[in-house]
Amino acid sequence: MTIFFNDVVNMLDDLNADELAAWIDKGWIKPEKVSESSDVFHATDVARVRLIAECRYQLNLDVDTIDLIIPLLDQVYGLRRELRTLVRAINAQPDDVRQKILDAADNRTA
Amino acid sequence: MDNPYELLGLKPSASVEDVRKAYRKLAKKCHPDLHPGDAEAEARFKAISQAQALLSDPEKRARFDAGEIDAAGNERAPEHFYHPHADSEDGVRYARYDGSAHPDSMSDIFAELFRNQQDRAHVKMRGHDIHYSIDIPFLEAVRGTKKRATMADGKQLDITIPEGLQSGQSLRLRGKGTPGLEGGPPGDAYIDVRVSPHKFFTRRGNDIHVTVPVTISEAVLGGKIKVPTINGTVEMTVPKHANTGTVLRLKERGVKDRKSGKRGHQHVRLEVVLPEKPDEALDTFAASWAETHKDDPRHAMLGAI
Repeated sequence: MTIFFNDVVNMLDDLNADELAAWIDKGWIKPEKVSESSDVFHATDVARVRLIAECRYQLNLDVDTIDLIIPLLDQVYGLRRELRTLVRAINAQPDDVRQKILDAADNRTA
Repeated sequence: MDNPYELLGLKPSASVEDVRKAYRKLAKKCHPDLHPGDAEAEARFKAISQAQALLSDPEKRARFDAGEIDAAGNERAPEHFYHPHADSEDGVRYARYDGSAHPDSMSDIFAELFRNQQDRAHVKMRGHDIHYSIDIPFLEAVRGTKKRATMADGKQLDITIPEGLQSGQSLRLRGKGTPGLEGGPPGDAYIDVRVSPHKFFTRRGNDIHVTVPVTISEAVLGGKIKVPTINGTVEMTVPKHANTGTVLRLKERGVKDRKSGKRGHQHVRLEVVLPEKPDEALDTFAASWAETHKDDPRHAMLGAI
């Protein structure tokens, strides 16, 4: 099922079209542009709309605060990606190399 | 399922506004999307969401208060969280850093890791030194030689043993260590030399010491004898009335000093020996000689104790 702009607006009680359009303008949501007038929302986009709607209506955060949170959030998830890349790379090493890395990391924090 | 009032820190008399305020306060602290990967926060968030849903619904709240439904109610906490998506492959579209080794998409910390690796790869590095040890026969060490020797790791090296090499000295073979990296020079090979002892030559400094046997007649009458030196056989004169323990010096027949170029000496200690087989004539002579010579050569020793 392909989800378009209006489907998203209808999915959430509190959300109206102007607000969703504003979020897209701000770059909070980046739906796929399939033509000049129609955006397609993937599951990730919808989940992100839900999160922002939740912050906005349930947690009552104002737009400026959300503007602050979203980039931080994207950093956290980006860093988690890098961390997973590193963990995969470390896990691909022989046991003795992994142990050395763990020991070195341990020294760093001690 | 915990009591929804307790979960939100409320009294049963709390107003709808109290419920909303309490929920917002708690939800901000444990929203799963603000605490990715924190299962405890997620569980807590679900619990307070459920509690809030129940207490915000006057009908359900009344039924809960009346004991008609339990705290779980029929409501389910929202399951449409963002974080599984953010952590999925598709989430890369929003992630600030994409977790790849592409320089344009790395955080500064991650970039440091890869930068270090690149630096390392391009630094010219000298190869490592390798240490070996070999045993050299005594005569090769004092005379000096060139030889090809096989090291412990199977490597064959051409070695020049300088004349007069001492045990414990180390030879350096330039460039015979491991190869350098990225055009760096190779390391050196260091060879610790142990000189094997010789059957009859011993070395003290640059002097050679050797004990040679002489017959009774050579010792008594003197004469020319042939003795071995480190560079071949040499004729030497044994003086008349020599004895066991007499030390003669062969000038400059020792080891060549590496610095001054001067040779040490060879010291030849004589040792009077009887013939290998019993000799009748000698027996007869000794018996008649003993008749007239009663001196005890151990006299001084015996008197000393």
